[in-house]
Amino acid sequence: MGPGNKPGRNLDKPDGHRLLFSDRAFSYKRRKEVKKHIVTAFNSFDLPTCTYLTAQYLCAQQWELADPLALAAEIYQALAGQTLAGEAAVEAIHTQIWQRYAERLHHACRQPGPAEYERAWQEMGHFLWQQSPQLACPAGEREDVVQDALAHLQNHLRQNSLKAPRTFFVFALQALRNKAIDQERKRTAVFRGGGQNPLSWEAIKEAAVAERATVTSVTARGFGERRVEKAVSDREVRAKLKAFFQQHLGSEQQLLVAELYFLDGLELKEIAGLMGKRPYEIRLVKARIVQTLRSLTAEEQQMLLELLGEDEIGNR
Amino acid sequence: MRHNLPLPWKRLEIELALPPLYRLSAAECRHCQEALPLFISDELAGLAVDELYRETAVHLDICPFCLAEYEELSRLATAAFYSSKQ
Repeated sequence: MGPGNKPGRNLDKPDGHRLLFSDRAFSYKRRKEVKKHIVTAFNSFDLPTCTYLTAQYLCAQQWELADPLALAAEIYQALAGQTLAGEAAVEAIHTQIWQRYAERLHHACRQPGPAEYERAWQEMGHFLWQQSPQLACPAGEREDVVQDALAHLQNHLRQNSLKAPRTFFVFALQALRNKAIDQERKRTAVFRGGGQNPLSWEAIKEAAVAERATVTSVTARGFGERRVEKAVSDREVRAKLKAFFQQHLGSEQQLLVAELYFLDGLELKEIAGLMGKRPYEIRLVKARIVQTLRSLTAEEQQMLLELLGEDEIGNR
Repeated sequence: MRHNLPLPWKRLEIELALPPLYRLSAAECRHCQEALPLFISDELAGLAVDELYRETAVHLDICPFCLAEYEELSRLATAAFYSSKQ
């Protein structure tokens, strides 16, 4: 990164304008105003806007290991073929930034020696610290949790690199969460007056799954592999399935997602777009629908399976 | 071509035929949780994760433990990368 491109200094925009990136110039309120303006006016995807958003995002995150101009150029090239506008365009750029930056950070964190190494770990520490208030752990313990997570990451990276470095930030968040849970368990064990060596979160999860495996239960029904081959006389089946969902699903939201996913064949991402939600939120709803339907009584499940197989019978 | 695709509710039939929760092994959960950073990163990037990482997607539908982990991690990641401070 050239000295003139560091956040906190002036940055030349490719079209000749100069942008200020000092913390004072980019106060929180100002950033919100600028973002709102950009999102509103962002009807065409061009390099100057991409550069502006990239530099703004890097500055907000205090990430200094990438040259904003070079990174923006990479992102612009990657997204140029897509039709992007408005909020979706801004989000696509943000995703490109944090994933590409994660790759750089991962690389720097694995190269002891140069100043970049120190800086990389400092930035990772800052990132985790920024996220720590979202964890369910007391403020006084956050520093320990972050330090434990950093130590875990350092050990891991010393031995192995990540197969997909773009996941480095989410990997770090997972480590942070696991350490917060470990900390919580330690505290609870002390509170209860015991548990000098509480199990780690990973060990607990394994123990829980192993315990589950020992529970005797009804033999799984062998449903076999049925094939629903032709979408010719599906209207009637669809109506019956919809009525079945209405009878067994708990909320309007579940009903809507079930209809869009299982009857209309939309993908989770598309449903999320329609409902103005994140794909992960829709995945959670869908998983709960599946869990509800899987926990129906044997008779109800049989009824559902017969409905699902109706068109197959009709087409024989 | 639409008429060559299976009916959408074929998906549900598959989900119902998955093994019950108690049949899942610790190794399957560990594998799923190791895969979550990649799954979530790519899902946030708009990739078709249900096709790319089918095993993980299916596991999340039947395992409430891993689903809770997925939920929390997705929530953290969304807040970290897309909050209004950017």
